[in-house]
Amino acid sequence: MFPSPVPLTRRHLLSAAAGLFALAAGLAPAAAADQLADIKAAGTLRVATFDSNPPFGSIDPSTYNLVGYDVDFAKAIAQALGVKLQLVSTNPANRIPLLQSGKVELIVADLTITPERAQVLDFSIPYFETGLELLVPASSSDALSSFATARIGAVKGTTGEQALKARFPGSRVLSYDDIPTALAALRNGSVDAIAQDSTILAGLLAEAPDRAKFKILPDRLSREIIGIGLAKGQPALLAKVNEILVGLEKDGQAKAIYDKWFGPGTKFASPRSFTIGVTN
Amino acid sequence: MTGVSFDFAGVLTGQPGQWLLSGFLMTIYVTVVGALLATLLAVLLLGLRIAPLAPARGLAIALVELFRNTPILVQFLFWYFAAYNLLPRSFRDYITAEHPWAVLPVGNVLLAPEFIAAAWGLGVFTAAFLAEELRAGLNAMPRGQKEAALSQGFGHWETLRFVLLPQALANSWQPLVTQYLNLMKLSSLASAISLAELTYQVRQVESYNAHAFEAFAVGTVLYLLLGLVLGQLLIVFGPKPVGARARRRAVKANRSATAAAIVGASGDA
Repeated sequence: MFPSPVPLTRRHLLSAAAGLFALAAGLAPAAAADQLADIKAAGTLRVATFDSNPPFGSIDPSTYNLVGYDVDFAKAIAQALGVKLQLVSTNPANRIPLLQSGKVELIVADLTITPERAQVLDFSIPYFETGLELLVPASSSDALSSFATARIGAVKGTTGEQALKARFPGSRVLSYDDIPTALAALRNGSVDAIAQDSTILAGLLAEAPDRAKFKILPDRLSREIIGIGLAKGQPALLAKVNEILVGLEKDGQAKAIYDKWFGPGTKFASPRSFTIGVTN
Repeated sequence: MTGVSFDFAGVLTGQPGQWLLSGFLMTIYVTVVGALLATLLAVLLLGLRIAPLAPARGLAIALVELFRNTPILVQFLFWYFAAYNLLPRSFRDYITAEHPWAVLPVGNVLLAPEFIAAAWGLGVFTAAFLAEELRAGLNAMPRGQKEAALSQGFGHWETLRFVLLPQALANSWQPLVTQYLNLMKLSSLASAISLAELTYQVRQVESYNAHAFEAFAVGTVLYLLLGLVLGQLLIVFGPKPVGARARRRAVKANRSATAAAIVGASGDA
């Protein structure tokens, strides 16, 4: 005999809701617990880093190990916690889902701090900073404001033009096919400056035969502040990570890591414009 | 349907629409200035080419061969990145300074290295072709025209201006129109030296909102319209072949006479 259909009662709905709630809780197993205690108990810190985004995280072709600025920070944090480090390689699209599904405790992968992301995860204090910079002739003024109505070269298809127009509406932006062409326009005075991401500009200047004729302005047009991502509602872990970052700055390790990847003589050489733990 | 949909409002309104309008106008400006320059330089080249002095002819031949046998893109890059560099620094600073009087709608700056290099590049390149078309028009003329003018006491440039050029122009007007239309289309290559003309703006719209199909379609239609209008204007207001009006009148009279005859014949049947 078949059971006769039972009408849905309030009791059924309630139990279904309870079941869904349990399922959701199961999907985010670490959400409620104290992750810092869990990490110490497990003896392992799991960190998401890039595997193909030099100099932040990439695979060393000779050792096949993950190396980079972010990898060194992950190592330093694990060491300070006194636990083993387990790196989980990821890409820009997957890094936040990895954290949300509880597969890693930290994202150390060139993650820009934005209000939209801050709604779904918490950020440590910044440990890196980048942004749009101006490359100008060495004889030009050092003040960013003196380029407010200048002719500025950019590269077609990048966001530089929009950022430039937002900051300096009076500037005249000229887009070229690629960055070497923009540099050629700067060389002959057709543009007063070229705008690009700081790391790209540093690489460009390093390769230019006439690099002594140019300089990168100390102030940035836009700032991208990079922080470590962690799950929401983990005050103990957040405080510990921030404490470790400040400690790394104090004992010089943070600067040493910076110099290893962005210091003079490196491919991405660019002056360090920030100090961890100091807001500017 | 394969689910492909087009959003033409996305490229014709707002910021993208503004960019396309500005680019369209810039294409017109650079075409007009380039065509005027090309015409002047072509007459100069032609004068040298048929001069009695051998070195003058040699110079004209060398210039024509240089400009019509090298790609215009390379010439643009040369004028903009290399030749511009040779100008005095103070002059370059003057060009790149702001000149409100040199700004045409919509925000197109004419006194700027991009516009100068593009208009000059188009002018020089096209002048080489125009001069050769004009020379073909001259060659189609009886030798006696030049001899008669010279024997009447006309000088070299006067003979060219008052006797030879008007006839040569009429003879070679069709291929000349083609060269002017080429100039308009070649202006698209000036986007490589950052001249914010139609092609530059089409690409900007494409990278702004990824409306590739719509942006390139609108760009193509605008070029087509401009070409058709420009071609018609040049034909309508251009010189007519020598004796063309008389011939046309004769043909017309002949046709209506024939038609009348046919009507008359069929009316008889």
